Amino acid sequence: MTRAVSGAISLRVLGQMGTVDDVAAASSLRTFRQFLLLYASVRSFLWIAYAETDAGLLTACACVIWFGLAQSFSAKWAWLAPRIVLPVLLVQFAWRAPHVANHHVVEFLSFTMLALLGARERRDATSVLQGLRWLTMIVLFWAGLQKLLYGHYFRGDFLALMIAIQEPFAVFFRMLVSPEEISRVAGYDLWRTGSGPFRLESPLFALASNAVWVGEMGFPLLALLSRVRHLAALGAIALVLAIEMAALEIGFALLFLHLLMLFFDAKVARRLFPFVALFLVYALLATADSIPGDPRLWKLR
Amino acid sequence: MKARSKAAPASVAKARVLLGILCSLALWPVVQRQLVTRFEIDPWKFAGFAMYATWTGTVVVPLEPAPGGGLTPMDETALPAFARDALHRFRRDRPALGKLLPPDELAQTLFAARPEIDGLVVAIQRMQLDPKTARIISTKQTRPFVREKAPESQ
Repeated sequence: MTRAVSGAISLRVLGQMGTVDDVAAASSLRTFRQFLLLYASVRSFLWIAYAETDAGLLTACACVIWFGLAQSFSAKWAWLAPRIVLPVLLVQFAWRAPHVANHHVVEFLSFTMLALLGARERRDATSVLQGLRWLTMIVLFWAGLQKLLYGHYFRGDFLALMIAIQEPFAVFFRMLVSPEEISRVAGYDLWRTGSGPFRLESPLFALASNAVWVGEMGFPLLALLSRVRHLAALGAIALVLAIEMAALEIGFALLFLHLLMLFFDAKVARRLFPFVALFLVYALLATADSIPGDPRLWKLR
Repeated sequence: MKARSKAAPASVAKARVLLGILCSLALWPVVQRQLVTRFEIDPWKFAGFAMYATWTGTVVVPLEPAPGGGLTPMDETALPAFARDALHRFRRDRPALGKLLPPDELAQTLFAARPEIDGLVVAIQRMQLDPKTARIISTKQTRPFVREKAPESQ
């Protein structure tokens, strides 16, 4: 009886992220699985390329993931790929510990959820799709809540500090902050006690700073409402794109945007797939010094 | 929704697993925040999703007794490779692990590299952004170590 109730509750809670028919859900998950394996394949290659030690272990792990990527294009065996890759991810992240980034955790949990799909994918596709949507919104909500709790966003202090230490932030916020103000914060020594204040006078800058955590917390809450769910996902996509224009965390952005695309019809992600694949191939070639560019700057890893 | 309520037992079990994963994901950041406060682990790491929410920096300086008394920073360029590697690893991992990675092992490696000294201090300064003043504040932890004497043989 208790199991039946908990099962019903589980289905009900998952259902709060929208009801999708199993065929459409399976289609969305197929595209997402291919993306995720491609993403993990490229990340694995970059880990080998920039590894100081254990290249052999990393290469073995990458080979399994590349095999999984190839498998994801097979109609019959694609469902098995996440189950094969999952233990390998554990090995990779254990090797990387304690420097496992939050997007690696998101990647791992996404694979875990996809691994729940069996050979008859359609049967659990809706639940898994809903689970991935929840995952996306929980992560986004916490990202906003943490900014609220640490209290560096009300007057833009954290972003002012980032302007001081990371060039892309300074370039991005030139439209809101005067060059004198940027020079002032850039002149502070981050490693000296008492340096600062990392605070800018521009009201628009403070507004932009607050919009970040408000959006990160607000869109997930709106996603609970069926009427505005798509709008909330669109808003979240716009927010992530805006954030990444300054942060340039391309690896995180690619993963998170694909998670957010799970709120829309599969064809959106499917149409984007060739472009994403081309970009990732470009990153690989740039890593191998075959073409210009430095993937380290894009934080793909 | 009616069709979903008649889901097969396997599907219901998987829905429970999914909900378990999601509940853990939703609650874990509360634990992560406690770890940050108590052990000074990196707020950006360990699935707390506080990336770009705050800033911390860590400075690690090994000190040795100065000839005229007091302490002086160790000449790191004069250290053998194994000690430099240990110092590099500690500087790389300490910001992530905070107090969960104490400097004891590093101190023993430094003693092995510098047999002529009997005492040293590992100074660890943690910098962060003060939300009230928007200035850099820091806390300093100094750990003194004394070389353990090998027991004399009878």
